[in-house]
Amino acid sequence: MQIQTTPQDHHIARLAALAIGLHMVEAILPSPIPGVKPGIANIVTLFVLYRFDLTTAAWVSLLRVFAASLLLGQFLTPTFMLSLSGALTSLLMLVLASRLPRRWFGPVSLSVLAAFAHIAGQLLVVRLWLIPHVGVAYLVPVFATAALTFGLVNGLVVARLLASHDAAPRS
Amino acid sequence: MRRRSFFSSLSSRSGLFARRHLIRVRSLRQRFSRSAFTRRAASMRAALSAARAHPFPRLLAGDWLTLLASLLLVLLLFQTLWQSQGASKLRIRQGDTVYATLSLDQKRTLHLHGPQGETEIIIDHGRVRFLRAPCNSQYCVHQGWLTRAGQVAICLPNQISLELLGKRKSYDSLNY
Repeated sequence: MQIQTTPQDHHIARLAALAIGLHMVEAILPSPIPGVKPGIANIVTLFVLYRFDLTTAAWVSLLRVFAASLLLGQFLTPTFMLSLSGALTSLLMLVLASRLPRRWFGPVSLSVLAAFAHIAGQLLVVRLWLIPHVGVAYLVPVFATAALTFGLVNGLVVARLLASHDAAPRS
Repeated sequence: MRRRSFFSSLSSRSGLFARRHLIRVRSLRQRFSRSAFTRRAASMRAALSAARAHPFPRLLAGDWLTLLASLLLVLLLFQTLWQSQGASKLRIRQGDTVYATLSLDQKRTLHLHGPQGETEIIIDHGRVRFLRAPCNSQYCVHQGWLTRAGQVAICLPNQISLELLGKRKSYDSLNY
């Protein structure tokens, strides 16, 4: 059986593979605070958003969430649900944020906004489903700080990648 | 005749091998030729010089605005969600019953009688502590003043506990 694929499918698969790799690397890294992760796989999502389009970025992001959870044995577990809700809300935020004027708002803005949307979605799932308790509010400032920090760092990485991608000749 | 054919076949075979080999060598040479190498080196040099020209990506005005707004949001979250809630009431438990729920905004000394003897508790305008207890360990007394909602001091031997209450119930612990 042969599935007909287009060059675009191959492109998405290649980029998603890169994102999955980064996701796996991040899963290995120990985190000082449980739940706080840099989210380096989102660098790929944002890069794809800039170099391709929003649809491709959504494909890459969601494929990454599903495939990485299967590889890590987390499919349909709470971890997967958190990952998925974070990815969906940050994609939603990117839909809105990508309408901001490109002249003023660069990848750093999009990255920070998406990071905040990411933790907002995750904390919503935590509050409504996993830990239905007001005590969750106590964790919000910690995660917000993490979102700002890693959103900024990831955004700078994307800006840097885009700059060197522009400079290097296409191969 | 037989011999010649053998040689001829051998030579032709070796010739074929040599030709293939030549082709392979040529393709290898092409791949690692000087021009290709210099081309690749030039592209790498271009990327490097671009990286050196922009060692740190420039932030746009909107980026700074986003960062500033985010920082303010984070500070606001810290201030609203991490402020230690002042306590307004004190709940005293004795054994398995609530002995009393009192206002903290007063100066008062209480004397309670437990299984081991008399325990003295002092309320002092927003704070409370065990002043004297008959138990051996004296953990309850060493706990000192309680000031924030959710704080608890317990004297197990004498079966008396103090708990400070805020406007809303605080949690005991968080578990991951």
